[in-house]
Amino acid sequence: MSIALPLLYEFRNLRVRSSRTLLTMLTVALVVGVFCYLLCFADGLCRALARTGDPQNLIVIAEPATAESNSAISHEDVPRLKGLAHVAVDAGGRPLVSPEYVVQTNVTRRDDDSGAGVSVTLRGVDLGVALPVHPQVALTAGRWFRAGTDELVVGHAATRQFTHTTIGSTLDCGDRTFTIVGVFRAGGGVRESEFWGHFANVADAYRRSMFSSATVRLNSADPALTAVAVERIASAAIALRGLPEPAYFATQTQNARVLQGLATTLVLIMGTGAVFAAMNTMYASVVGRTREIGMLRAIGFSRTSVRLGILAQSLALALTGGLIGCLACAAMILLDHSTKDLVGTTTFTSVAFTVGLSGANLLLSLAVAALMGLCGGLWPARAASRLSVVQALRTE
Amino acid sequence: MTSATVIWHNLWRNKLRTALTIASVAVSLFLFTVLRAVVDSMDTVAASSARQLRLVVHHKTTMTKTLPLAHGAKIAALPGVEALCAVRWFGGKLPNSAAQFPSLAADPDNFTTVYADFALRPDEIAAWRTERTAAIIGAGLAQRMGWSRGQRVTLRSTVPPYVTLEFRIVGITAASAYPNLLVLRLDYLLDAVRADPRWPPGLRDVVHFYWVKARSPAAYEMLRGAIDGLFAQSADATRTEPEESFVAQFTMMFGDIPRLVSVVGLVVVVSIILVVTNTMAMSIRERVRELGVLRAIGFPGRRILATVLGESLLVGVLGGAIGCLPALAVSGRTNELALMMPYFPVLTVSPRTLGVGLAVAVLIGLLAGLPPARAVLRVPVSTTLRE
Repeated sequence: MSIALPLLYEFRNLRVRSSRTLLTMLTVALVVGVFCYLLCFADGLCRALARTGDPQNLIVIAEPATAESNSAISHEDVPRLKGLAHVAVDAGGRPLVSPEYVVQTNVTRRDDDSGAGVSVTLRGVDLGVALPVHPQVALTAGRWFRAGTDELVVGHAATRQFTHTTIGSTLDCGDRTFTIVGVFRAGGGVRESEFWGHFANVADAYRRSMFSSATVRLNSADPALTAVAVERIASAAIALRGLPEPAYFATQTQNARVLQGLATTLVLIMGTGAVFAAMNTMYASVVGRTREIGMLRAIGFSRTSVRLGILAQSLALALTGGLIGCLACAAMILLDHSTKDLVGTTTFTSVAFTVGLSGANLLLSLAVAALMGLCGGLWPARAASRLSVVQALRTE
Repeated sequence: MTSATVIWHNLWRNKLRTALTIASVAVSLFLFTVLRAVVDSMDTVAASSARQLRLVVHHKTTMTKTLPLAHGAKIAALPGVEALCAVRWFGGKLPNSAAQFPSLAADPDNFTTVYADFALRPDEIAAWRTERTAAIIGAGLAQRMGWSRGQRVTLRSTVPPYVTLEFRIVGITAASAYPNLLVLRLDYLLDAVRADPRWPPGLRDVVHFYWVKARSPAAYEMLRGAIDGLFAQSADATRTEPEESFVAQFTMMFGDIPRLVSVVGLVVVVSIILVVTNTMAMSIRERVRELGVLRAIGFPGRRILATVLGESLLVGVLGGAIGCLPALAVSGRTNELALMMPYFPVLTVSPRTLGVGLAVAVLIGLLAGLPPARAVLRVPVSTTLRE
C-alpha cells in the first residue's frame, strides 16, 4: 500500500535548509525571468508583424526588388493594376489601388544619448485611396496632412520610440523640412512605425519620379482569388511581383525568428545550469536526512511515496523560483520603457514594437521552471527511494 | 601534506556534488564566453575602422538617397583628402537563389588606396585596376558560395535600375571586417545603367556614398565639418560621419539585441555565483567540526581560509577551463542572416574574450568561497568542536 507523504512535511523540509533553498530558488528565478523576458521581446515583434498583414491586400513591387524600399514601378503600371479582376472599389466606383512612395529618413531613439541615427520609413500616399486600402489606419491625435503641403503624420509606435515625433516638431526629409501634424494607429502593425505624407510632396522632396510600390485591395481574402491575381501580376503584360501582405511582412523581419531561436538556446543552456543547482540542493537534502527517510520507510511509507515526496519538494522549489522570476519579469516590463525597435533585414528601416506581457508566455515560463524542478529532483528522488532502511537508520 | 593536496582531496570528498558544480560553472561560462564574443566581434570591426581615418559622406537625411557624381570632384579638391572613393549600392543576387550578401560598386582607381585594409596582393590590385568586370570578395563569401579566383559569376541588382552584370573574381580578401562583401567596379555599373534608356536620369549619374581617406588625424577632424559645409546650400546636402559610427548603424541592425545579450551574460554570471556559493556553503557546513579540530591543534585561520578559498577557486577554474575552451569551436561561425549585412563580423572568440571568460571563472571561485570561509572562522573553536 502506498500512502503519499504529507506535502506539508516536504515543504517544511525546504524551510529547514532555508538559505540553500533560497539560493537555489533565486537561480531558478533568474533563469526563468530572463527566459520570460526574451519570449515577450520576440513575441512583441511577431505580434506587430502579424497585425500588419491584411490578407485582402496585395503589395506589388518590381520583380527583382526584395522590398518596397528598393522597388521602383512606373506610372503606367498603376492603370494596369486597376484593371485586374476582383479589385475592390470604393463608393464612387474607383478601384482600390494605392500607389505609394516608400523612402527613408533619419531619427534618433528616445532613450539613446549617443545621437546614433535610425532609419525609418517615410511613405507618400494619396489619402483618398490609401485610407480605404488600409482600413486599419486611423487618426488618433492632431489632423491629417493637407495635400500639397510639407506635412506628415506619424505612427503611434514611432512616437514612443523615436525623436521628432511630437505634433509640431519638424523633420528633415530629402531636400525639404516637414512638420508633424498628427498621429495615427494602424491596428498595432508595423505601419505604426512609419511617417506618412502626401505623395506629391514626398516625391518632390526625394526627387522621385517612379512609385515604389502599389497596394491592391481585392474583393475578398479567398486564397484562390489571391493566387489568380498574383499570377496575373507576374504575367508578361504587367511583369511585377504581387505578394499578399502577410507573406510580404513575414519575409521582411526574419530577425524575429533568429531572436526566438536565441531565446530558446540561451534558456536551454542556462536551464541546464539551473538543473544542476536544483539537483545539488535536492541531493544535499536527501543526504541530510538519510536517517529520517529510513524512519519514514520503517513506519510504512513505501519507496514510491518517498520518491514522490522528494520530487514534490523539488517541484515546489522550482515553481516558487519560477514564480519569482515571472513576477520580476512582469515588473520589469511594466515599469521599464518597454518599446524597443528592430531593423528589418531587407528594408534597413526600423520597426518599433512593444514588449508585451502575455499569459501564455508566463505559463510557458512556469512550465520551464517545473521542468527544471522535475529534472533536478528525479535522480535524488531515486537515490532516496533506494536507500536501505536498516543502513539509513544507522546513519548518524 | 601540502595545502594543494588538502584542497584536491577535499574537492573530491563528494564527487557527485563537485562534478555537478563544475558542470554548472562550465555551462554558464561557455554561454558567457560566446555572448561576450558576439559583442566583442562587433566592437572589433568598429575599432578597426577607427584606425583607418576614413569618413563616410552620405545624403543628409538618409543613406539610401543618392548623391550626384559631381560632388566627388569637389570633395577631392579639399585639402587633407588623401583619396576619395565613390560607392554605389548594388545589392546583387544570384538569379534563382535565395542567398543574399552585400555588394557595392566602388571607384576603380581609388578603392585599393582608401581600402588599404583589404590587404590585397599586388597581382590582385593590378587585375582590379585593369579588368572592367573585376570583383573582389570576402573570404567568408568565397567559402560559402564555393567561389575562387578567376571564376565568373552573374548577379542581378535588387535596386533600381535592376541591371544584370557578369563579373570575374580577381581577388579574395582575408580581412576579418569584410567577410561577406562583394566589391565591383563603379564604372562598369554606371555604363550599364546609362545604356538603359528606360530609367529616369535621376538614377544615372549618382552614387550612394563617398568614402574619404584623410591624410592625417588633424585633416580628418577638419574634414568632418568642412565637407558638409561645402554642400550645405546645395540641393543635395550631405552628412559626414566617421566610419565607425556609420558601421555601428549596420551592427545595430539587430536593434537592442547586443544590449540584451550583455545583460543576459551578466545574469548568467550572477546566477552561477549563487550556485557555487550554495555548494561551498554546503560542503563547509559538513566540515565545521573538522575545521574546528584543525584550528584547535594550531593551524592559523589564514591557512584554513586559504584551503577553503582554494577549493572554490579550483571549482571555478576547472569549470572555466571546461566551459571556455569549447567556446573556441564557435569561432568562425556566422549566422546565415548576418551574411546579408554589410560589416557584420565573423564571430571570433579572441584571446581577449577567452581571457575575460577565465577571469570571470576565477572571480566566481573567489566570490563564492569567501562568505562560507569567513563564516566558519567567525564561530569560536569551542562551539565548532561541540557540534
